[in-house]
Amino acid sequence: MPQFKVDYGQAVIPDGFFLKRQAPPQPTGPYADGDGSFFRHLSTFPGRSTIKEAVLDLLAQAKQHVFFCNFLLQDEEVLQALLMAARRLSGHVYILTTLKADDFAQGGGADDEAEENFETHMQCVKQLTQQGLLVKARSDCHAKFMTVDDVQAIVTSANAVPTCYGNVRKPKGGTREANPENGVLLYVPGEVRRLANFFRAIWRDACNYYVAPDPTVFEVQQVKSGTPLVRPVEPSRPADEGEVLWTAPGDVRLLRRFLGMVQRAEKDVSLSTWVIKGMDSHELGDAIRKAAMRGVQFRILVRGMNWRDDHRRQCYQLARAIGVNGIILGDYWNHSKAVVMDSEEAMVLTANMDSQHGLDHGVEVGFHSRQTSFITAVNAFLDRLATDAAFEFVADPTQTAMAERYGRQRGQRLEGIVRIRFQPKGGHITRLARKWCDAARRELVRVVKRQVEGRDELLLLTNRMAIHARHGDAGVLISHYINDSPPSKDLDRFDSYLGKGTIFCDVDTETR
Amino acid sequence: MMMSLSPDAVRGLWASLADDAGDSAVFLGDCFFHTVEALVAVEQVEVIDPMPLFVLRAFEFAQPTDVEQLDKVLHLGRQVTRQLLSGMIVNGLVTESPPTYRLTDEGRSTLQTGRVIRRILLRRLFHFLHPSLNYVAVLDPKGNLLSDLSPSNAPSPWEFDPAILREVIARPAEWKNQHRFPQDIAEIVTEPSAVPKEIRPAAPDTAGRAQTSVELQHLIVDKSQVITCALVVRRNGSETIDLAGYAISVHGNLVRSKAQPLFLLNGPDDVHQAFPTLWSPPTPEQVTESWLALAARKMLLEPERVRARFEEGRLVILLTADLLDRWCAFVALAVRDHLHWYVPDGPFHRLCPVAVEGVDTPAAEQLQTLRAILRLEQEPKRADIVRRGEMLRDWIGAQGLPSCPSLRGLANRAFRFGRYRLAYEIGELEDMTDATV
Repeated sequence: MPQFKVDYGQAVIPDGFFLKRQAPPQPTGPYADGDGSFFRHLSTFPGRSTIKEAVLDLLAQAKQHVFFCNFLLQDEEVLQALLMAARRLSGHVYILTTLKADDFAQGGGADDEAEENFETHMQCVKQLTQQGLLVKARSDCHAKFMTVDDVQAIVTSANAVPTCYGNVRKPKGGTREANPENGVLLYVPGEVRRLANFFRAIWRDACNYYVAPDPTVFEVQQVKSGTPLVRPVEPSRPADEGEVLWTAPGDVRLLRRFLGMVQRAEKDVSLSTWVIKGMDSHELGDAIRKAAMRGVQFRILVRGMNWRDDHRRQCYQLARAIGVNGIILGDYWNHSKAVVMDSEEAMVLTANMDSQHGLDHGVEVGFHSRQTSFITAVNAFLDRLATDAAFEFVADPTQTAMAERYGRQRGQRLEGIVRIRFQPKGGHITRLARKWCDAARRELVRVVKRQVEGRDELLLLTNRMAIHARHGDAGVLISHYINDSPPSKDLDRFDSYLGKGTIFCDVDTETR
Repeated sequence: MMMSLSPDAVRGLWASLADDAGDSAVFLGDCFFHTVEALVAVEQVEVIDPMPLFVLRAFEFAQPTDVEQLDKVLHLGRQVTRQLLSGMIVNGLVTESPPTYRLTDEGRSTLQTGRVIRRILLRRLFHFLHPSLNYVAVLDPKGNLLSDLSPSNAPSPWEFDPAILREVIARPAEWKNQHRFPQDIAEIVTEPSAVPKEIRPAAPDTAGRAQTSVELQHLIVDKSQVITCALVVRRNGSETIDLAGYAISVHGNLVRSKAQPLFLLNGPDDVHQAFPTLWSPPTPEQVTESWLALAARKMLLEPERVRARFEEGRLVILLTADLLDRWCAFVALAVRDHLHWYVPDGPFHRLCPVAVEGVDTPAAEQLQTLRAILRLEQEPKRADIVRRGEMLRDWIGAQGLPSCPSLRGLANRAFRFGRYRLAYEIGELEDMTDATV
């Protein structure tokens, strides 16, 4: 009877994952947004959203007009505040948002069940137009900002949806925690006007769709196709306090400023983004790698999405590039976007580190400043985010590290001595068992417990193979099936990674 | 029923029925009918069959007119000739005084015209309006539009004198033709002895109701029925041309199309006789009550602050500037002639447009501004006018408004009056002008 033995746990996995931090985050005291003479930093953390408070406040204060641009609009209080402002001002509320399902999907859409869907968004749009508000859309606009009376503006990472403003009860029970979000309320006259004129330029000539204000008819009409140019009237020079920046067709000043900050960095760069995409072949990715090579320390805060391979791959490349000169931290719901360089410059923006949307294409906005008060406020926000982050990105973890530190463990766990006896006999079973053991020596083994025909079944999955087994006597697993092409869905949901230990596979070669 | 109609339903009725020329008046209310069912003698004229006509012609040539001579003309054989003559005796065309036969007056008439008049007895329905007891031809072929009233629900007194039906039957053919009264009815049969044995109770009808038994055929039945109607009175100046009655559903819409009225009355005399109380102006109290009902339906607060009057067929609402400002949507509907309601008119209600007027100078000016906004909305060159602020200011200047509103003021007013697209077009002229940098 051939027996195969696998010492599982020491193999290094050539990949990267968000794993529980070595030192778990300590509970932090109350966080307070920073402010200065020309701004107030805004945020959303579970428990409070100063972003929403500021949005509602501005809508209530407006005396002349409101320019409101947001990728999504599903929050009932914001919706009612917009309607209230329109009633109070007898119109003069201008809303840019998303009006097409394709644009919603392109922009990221909802990525968990608590985030609402496009239909809910369109219901809100319908309420607006039914009550006399004209709503327009630009297909590639992902920006979230608003200006009021050309004197105040908000630039924020937060969509106007409940999850960006606070904890939300899930339909099936439980609570979905709020996204950490950030933003800035600006009082810099010239820069507020720059942003308002940017809105005006889109509204006048650079929209793709609109829904006319009408109590009875709701129809999305196309006004232009493609990506119309945006030509705003701007101040000739930025304000001393800082500068509003954007991405628009043929105008990537947001990227240029971001790049400049990384290239100028001498000590450290701290940044936050929801997702990282396409940075392996992007000049921003190159700049980060070069900065890390010259010793700049990076702290990158992202949403710790292990399930999202594109994001994880980019984090892996970046983590390897920055090596010991930095850390990538992840949390459950981060959606904020900011960057601070050497405590010299800071920027709050609406774009992610995404080569496809936001930095090179689409419409995004940001505010950059070299003022100490602003830098301190943004830094404080990022510090809080880093303190709260539950995960750190680990490149090339060992099998043991994966078993011990991988996310939320649930269901069946296995470790120590694992003995598997194969019921089927024959040479091909021996070959498959050997093949599975070879894979287990260098890959991760996932453990799944499930019910099949009323009986418990355990699956031990490598990347391409699965052992199906049941618990036998004396802790031995009795395998009734070994599969070298399991369905890919079996790999997506698993209970845990196999813990450190030794696996013995006993195969009876006698034929029946 | 009237109180359950919404302003939208009233407007829908108005739009469906009122003549564009504006000389129509529409009344709404319940029309009560005496639906009288009586046994009548009906004369039916038929073309005579060729064979009996052939026999009748033989009387001109046979002498004497006995079977032998008649058969010499007819060549049918005496047996057949005798059978034909027997049938003609039954039909009253020929009499026999053996051995000869003679033509009756009817036989001679039939010989000349080729037609024979048959007299049959039938029970028929006749509709008389209550309380005028004017005969009205109700065009309800399926007989399912009018609803029966129980005696306790019928207007009191509820009486019908059969003499009225006899008098109508006796009227000249021209009148019957004008009023769609059947021409073939000779008389009412009210004596049981006049009912021949051949009239047997028919089989139950499709609804399972038993038909009147033969013993009761001669009785006249007066059934009280009702239907909610819209009465459309067409007028030429003050002269009434005609009246058409339309069946209305409980929701306030026409049961059938405008081309299918329930009844028609032609000429002022008929209309006046049938509905003598139409055109009774409402009292001031009734006008106020009507206004309050409309205000309640429109959910307008403090309607008691408003004076209302009925003049020139319109319900006129007199508003102060602050109410006008608060009731923008309502005012905009009225100014656009999109608001209709009703006032009491005798036993009916008269539908009417609702008009608004300002009671003070600010209110009057606001109304003028609103009318200017509505004119601009309809202006063929609107797109050019609202493209530039100067163009719009020039256009406003030419409207003769007592005080020239700012562009923002005009946009605000348009928004408040529910003219949202125009409000944005005007508002954008200033709001979307780049801020100075």
